[in-house]
Amino acid sequence: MNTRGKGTLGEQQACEYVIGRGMRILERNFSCRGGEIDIIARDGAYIVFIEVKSRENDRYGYGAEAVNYTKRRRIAHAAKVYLYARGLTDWDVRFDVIVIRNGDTEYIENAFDMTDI
Amino acid sequence: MLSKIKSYTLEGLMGLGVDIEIDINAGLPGYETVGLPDAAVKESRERVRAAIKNSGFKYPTKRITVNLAPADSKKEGALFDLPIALGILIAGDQLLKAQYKDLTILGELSLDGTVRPVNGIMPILISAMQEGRTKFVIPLGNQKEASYVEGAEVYPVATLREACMLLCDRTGFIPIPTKKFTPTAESNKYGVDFADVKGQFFARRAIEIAVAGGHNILMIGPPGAGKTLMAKCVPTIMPDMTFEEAIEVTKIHSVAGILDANKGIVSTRPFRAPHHTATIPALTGGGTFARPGEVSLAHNGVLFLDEAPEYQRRTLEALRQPLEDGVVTVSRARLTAEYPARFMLVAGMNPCPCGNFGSMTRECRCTPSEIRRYVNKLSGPLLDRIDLHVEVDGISYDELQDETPSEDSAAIKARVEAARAIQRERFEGKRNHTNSGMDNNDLRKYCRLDGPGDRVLREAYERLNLTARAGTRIIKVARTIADLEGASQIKAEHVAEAVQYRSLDRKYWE
Repeated sequence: MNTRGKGTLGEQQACEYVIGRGMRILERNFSCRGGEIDIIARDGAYIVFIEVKSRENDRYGYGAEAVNYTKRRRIAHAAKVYLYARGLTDWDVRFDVIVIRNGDTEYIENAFDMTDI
Repeated sequence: MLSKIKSYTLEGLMGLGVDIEIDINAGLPGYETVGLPDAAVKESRERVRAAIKNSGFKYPTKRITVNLAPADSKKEGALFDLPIALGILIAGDQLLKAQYKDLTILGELSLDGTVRPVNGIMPILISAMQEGRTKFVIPLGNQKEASYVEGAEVYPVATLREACMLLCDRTGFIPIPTKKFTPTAESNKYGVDFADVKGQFFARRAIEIAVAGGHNILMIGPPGAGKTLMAKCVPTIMPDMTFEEAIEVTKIHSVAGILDANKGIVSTRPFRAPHHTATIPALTGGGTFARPGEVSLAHNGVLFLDEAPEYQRRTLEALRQPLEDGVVTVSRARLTAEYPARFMLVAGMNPCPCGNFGSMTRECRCTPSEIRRYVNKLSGPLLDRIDLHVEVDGISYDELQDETPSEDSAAIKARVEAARAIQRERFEGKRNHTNSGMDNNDLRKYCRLDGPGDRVLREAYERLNLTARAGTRIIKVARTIADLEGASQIKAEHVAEAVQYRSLDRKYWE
């Protein structure tokens, strides 16, 4: 299986996990100029932007480490675009990260905020 | 939700009231500090976040805006951590019963939620009291210092959790009792005593005079003669500080962060001996935040310059202004601060680079030009501000092994205090209260010389080729010598002794 396939598989698994946590998925693979977001979901009063990182092993570093400054900025940018486009600017917002590693799921709630960007 | 907590920051020796406003709003989560914070304030976010989480509360996933008002003055230090953390909890509806409007809150947080002590608690509390704020929440480590601020209602806290409980329900929290410190509470707190000084009668007498009249003194002598030991003994014969003087000193030391947390107050006269590599800002005060320098840390005490000619010339010259005015004004980009600097200058020096010039026991190997260059590091204007110059020579073996104890500090101190009492009465109602600070009016009024005294001075003036300033200095010292004797009139013998302490001018500075 190629890398793209593995990634899609990981995102699929992440979606199931997110639904399992009681969130409602609003959008998948939202992208705009200058940014993209794997999953956008609603968790109670929060709009949650989720980045999915799949890794077979830690050979290239722990998955969450890959969500670096540039990546966070792209996510935040896309989040802003999404919120404005849908008129959701008064909602509470959260940025989460899901790490899929060899089939195991790790969920990092509130992984970063605008101060980290 | 919005919360507003009162806190203070330091501006020189004064506290500056700061309103910490915190707004928590929906939107992209983040944290913004506005209101001219410095790096330590900006970084507080990380400490606050960790401390809130580790104290069992929830750090809100919201947009948090922290405003430090007034917005136009720079805020420094980590003492806003505790009020910011409490403000976030209040604004986030996690402390619904909190009563905090009457409280002034200060403290630094560590990541585990412990409240760490901060600098400058005493000056802040005093300033806040003057502005009518009387109730304080402060770090437990600062409670000793705060206990000397009379009338303040002070609640020390050890952790963020404890502070939260205090805000929600004040019953069960008892403010610490405030007290006045009594100068006699501690005796022999200096660790040295004039009883340890063998021989050196001439120098001992000069130091006694210097302390009695608030004069500065210069000791010249070979290495190992005991200059440093005697200098360290100077505070032991100074009159005890009054409560007000102790508070003045404590404020300065608190701002500089060198206050002993176990004592909370500086009850002994400070003795500062900066190394001769000290820079001008280290001596007079400075740095980004205009911190007090050694001259201010020595306020109401002794500034000892050992090996005075080894200091940079510019550094020594920088002492002239504080010696004259008793205050230093430190101007920096961020603020201008005025620190008191009324200290007694005690300087020690070798007579030449090798140290043995003029010694009875050892031989000097320096050339005359080397000696001149060495002693000329002390400029005329600076020397003029030092009223007494005294030679300290090495002592003989017999003197060293002499078992009969020398006079101890307590006995000398008693005489000094008697002389100071006379001066206090003389200068009743004036700003200056020692003989060294007399102006020309005072000189005319209190220092009339009789016939023989006038003759002695005239002869010295002409023979030693003294400057006018040196002449008036001699009269002031003569006044002090007369006071030590309890004499109301300055007599010839007093003048003659005072002239003695200027005669080294000729020997070394020609």
